[in-house]
This record gives sequence, C-alpha cells and structure tokens, in this order.
Amino acid sequence: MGEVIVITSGKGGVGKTTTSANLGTGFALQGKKVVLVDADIGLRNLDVVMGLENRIVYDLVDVTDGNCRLKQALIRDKRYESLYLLPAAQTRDKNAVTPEQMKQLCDELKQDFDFVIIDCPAGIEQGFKNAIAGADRAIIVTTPEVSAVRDADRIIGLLESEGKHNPKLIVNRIRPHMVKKGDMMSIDDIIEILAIDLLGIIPEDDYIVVSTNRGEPAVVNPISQASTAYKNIVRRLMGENIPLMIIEDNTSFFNKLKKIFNL
Amino acid sequence: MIVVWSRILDLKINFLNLAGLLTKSANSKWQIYVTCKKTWEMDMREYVIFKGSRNGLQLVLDASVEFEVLLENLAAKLESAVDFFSRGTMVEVPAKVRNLSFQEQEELSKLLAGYGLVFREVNDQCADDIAMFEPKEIERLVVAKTIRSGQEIIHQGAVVIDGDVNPGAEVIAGGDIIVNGTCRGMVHAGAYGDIRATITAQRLLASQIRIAGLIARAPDHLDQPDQAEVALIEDGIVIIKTVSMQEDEMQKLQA
Repeated sequence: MGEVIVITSGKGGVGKTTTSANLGTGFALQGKKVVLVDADIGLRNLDVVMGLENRIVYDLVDVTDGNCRLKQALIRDKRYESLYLLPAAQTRDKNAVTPEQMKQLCDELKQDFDFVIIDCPAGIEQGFKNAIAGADRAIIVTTPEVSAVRDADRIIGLLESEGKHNPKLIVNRIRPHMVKKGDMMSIDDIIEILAIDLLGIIPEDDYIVVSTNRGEPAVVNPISQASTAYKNIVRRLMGENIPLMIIEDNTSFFNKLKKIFNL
Repeated sequence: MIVVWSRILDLKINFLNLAGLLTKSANSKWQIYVTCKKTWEMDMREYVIFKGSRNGLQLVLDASVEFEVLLENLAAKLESAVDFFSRGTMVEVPAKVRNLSFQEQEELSKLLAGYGLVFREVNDQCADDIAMFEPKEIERLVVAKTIRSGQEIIHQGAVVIDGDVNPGAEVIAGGDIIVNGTCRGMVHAGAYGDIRATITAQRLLASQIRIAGLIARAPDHLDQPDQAEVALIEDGIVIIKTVSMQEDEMQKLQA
C-alpha cells in the first residue's frame, strides 16, 4: 500500500509543479514506483514540465468519466521505468471531477504505486478540494515572501479543517545574499509564523528555468543546487535523517571566483 | 454505457494501430503509437432514434451496427431522459430495417419495460427512416481566429482554421483539417473513422496528430518545417509530406 502526497501552496507560481516533478523523479531515482497526478484541470502543466505532452491520449477526466481504464491513461516517463504521469484534461474545468472521485482514484493508485504525488492547483476552491481529498499527507510549498507565507498559512488551516494534520513545509527560491542583507524573509521567520515542520529548502536556481523548458526535471542534473536539495527532500520523505543543506551564496565575488577555479 | 461502446471501437482501432506499427518505415519521422482512440462524445452517433407515431413512439434502429451497440445506445438514451417518457407508452419497432431475432426482441422489450415502456413490433416501414442514416455532405467550418490552449473545435465535417492552433488546443474534425498558420496543438482529422482525411498546416508542429484511429506523436525534438506540410495515412501509417510533394504526386497520378 503506497502513500498519497499532495503538493499544495495556495498561491500560484511558488513552484508546486516543479516540486511535484522533481520529487516524483527523485523517488523514481531511488527505485520507487511513483505516479504523478496533475490535478490542475484546465491549466495543465505537469506534462510539459515532464516533457510528456505529446504522449497524452487519455486524461484524468476520462478516467473519472469512465471513458477509459485507469491503466490506459497512465503515461510512462521516457527516462525512468517506474515513473508514471496521469495528466489533467485541458479542455475541461475543475468541476469535471468531484472530491469523492479523486479519493477513489487515489485509493486505486495506492494499490499499485509506492508514492502517489498530486500536483494541486493554486487557489482554495474546487480544484484544491479535489486535490487534497485522497491525500494521506500534504507538503506545503512557499517562497520567502509575505504573500506566499500568508497563503500557505491559510492552506494549513484549511487542511486542518479537512482532518489533514501535520503538513510539511518546503521553502522554495531562497536567495541567501538577500536573506543576509535582511531583504528577504529568513527560514526562521517563516517557521515562526507557520509553525509546521520544515521538510527542506530549495535555493533559487537558474537551472530550474532551463529544465522546465527542456521538459526534464532538475534532479536529473547532478550539478544543480536545486537538484541536491530535492534529492535530500526525497530521502527525508523516505525516512532518512539528512541535515538541511547550507545554501552557498553564489553571487559574491569570492564565490564566483571559487566556482571558476572549481574550488 | 460509453465504456462498452468504446471497447468495441478500441478493438478495431488497436488492430489498425498494430498494423501501423508493423509497417512503420525506418525513415518515418513520426512515431506510431499503439494505443486506443479517444472516444468522442459525438462519436456516439444516433444509432437509435425515437420518433412520434400514431400509436405512441417509433423506435428506429440503425441496421448497420451490432445489436449490443444498439442496446447500449438505447440504454444510454433512456437513462438520460428517464422523466421524458410517460409510463405505458407503446414503442413500435419496425421489423423491416432490422430483423431482430426472438432473443433480441426479448432483450429490447426487457430494457424498455425497465422504463415503463411497452415493446411492439410493427411491419410498416417508411423509406425515409432508412435514408436517415445515409451520410450527409456536411459543410466545412471556417474558424478565423487563433485556437488557444484549452479551446476545442469539434465539427462533423472539414475544419479550416485561419489562424494558429496553440499547444493545449484541440481540433477534432470528421473530415480534413487545414490550418492556415502554425499548428502546435492536438489535431484529429477523420475523427469518425475516415482514413482518407488529411491535416494540412503552414507550419506543422503539432504535439500529436490523429487521423481516424491512428495516433502519431511528434518526436521529442521537432525541427521547424520551412514549408507547408500535410499529414495523411499511407499504407496504414501516418506520414508527413510537404504540400508541394503531395501535389506533385497527385499530378503524376492523374497523368
């Protein structure tokens, strides 16, 4: 019996889809059988980030409507055998699926996979309710901005009222030089407000843009800092005890110099 | 109800696809995809039609499809209009179009009875009922705008897009599809099974091309074509040609 993890944030653009893709691929790298479920019906993106857009024949709504069997809609990743994607429908909207149907779907997927990762849409409406319906646990993604933290706080409250306790936090897109100067919220500031367990921190990394456009999750690249951070999170989710990474400040002159000479 | 129908369809399509895979030529730049065709809602053609008659309703059944399909079609129709039929209504089934076996009659009568309808076989049959299933020439649809992500154009005949088809958009046509612009979305020509249907675009960069029951997906790295291209089925596979090549071949054929 697998575990259903929902990746949510409330605010849009904080990195839910990127996190879903990277955690999913990370689990597959660890030899786990994983399925990524895109719950963002009408605004699907996960297929593009995974580079699987041209393989879509059936989607999530086809499954819940009974147009096809679940296995027909699952797309196997082109890089990893144990990684699958269940794409969202693009021409429908969030109301095409009910929370009950999503719960049933998750229960079915749980039978066959070690991890079911659900990419939640932004917002707190129907799409959010659908995405969390079948989840065993939740991961909240936020960025060090007051707006994102406030939305994350709202989401934690909503999850609690749905009986989903102890969500874990990922702080994404940290720029250490800005934190140092006091221009950005620090991890401690965020934890103080949200008061939930920290699962990991991801540094701002230009490579994420490259990987998204290429349709190849960043964890595949061993050099990227974000890749290491995601790999650490995967191992923590699997029960290992990994210390938080110390994010290098790549922007200072000395560090740039260090990088050039590969020190 | 749709499930059973699609399964019957799938079987046929799977066979077609398999044939496509086996004959796939080495230089074909598009890959044949062994999978099932999506069942479009409109694919559920009206095989079963209720008409008013002197004694109640008349049930017109298409003679060309299997009985199981008819039964599913009918069940779906009855289910969708439970309140529409008043109890005890007589449903006449003309015998001439479709000779029903005793067992089939029994099944039909049982299904109708479940909705409070009474089955009765009659022998008179008007010619126009048969004509109803003759395929009609459907006018082509011209759309003079860019089809954006999430938008869907579904038409039973040919479709002409005077604009682009963006990624995430879908164009589904019973006949040919012509895109006078860049086609990056999903295009499905001959969606009701016409394998002669073609897809033409000024720049053909579609993520997926479907013709009748065949699905071809673009290679993961697709070069920008510098001239108009046409996709069609040849020898059981989807192939892409430049329009000028296709025209030359047509001329040769005519000569």
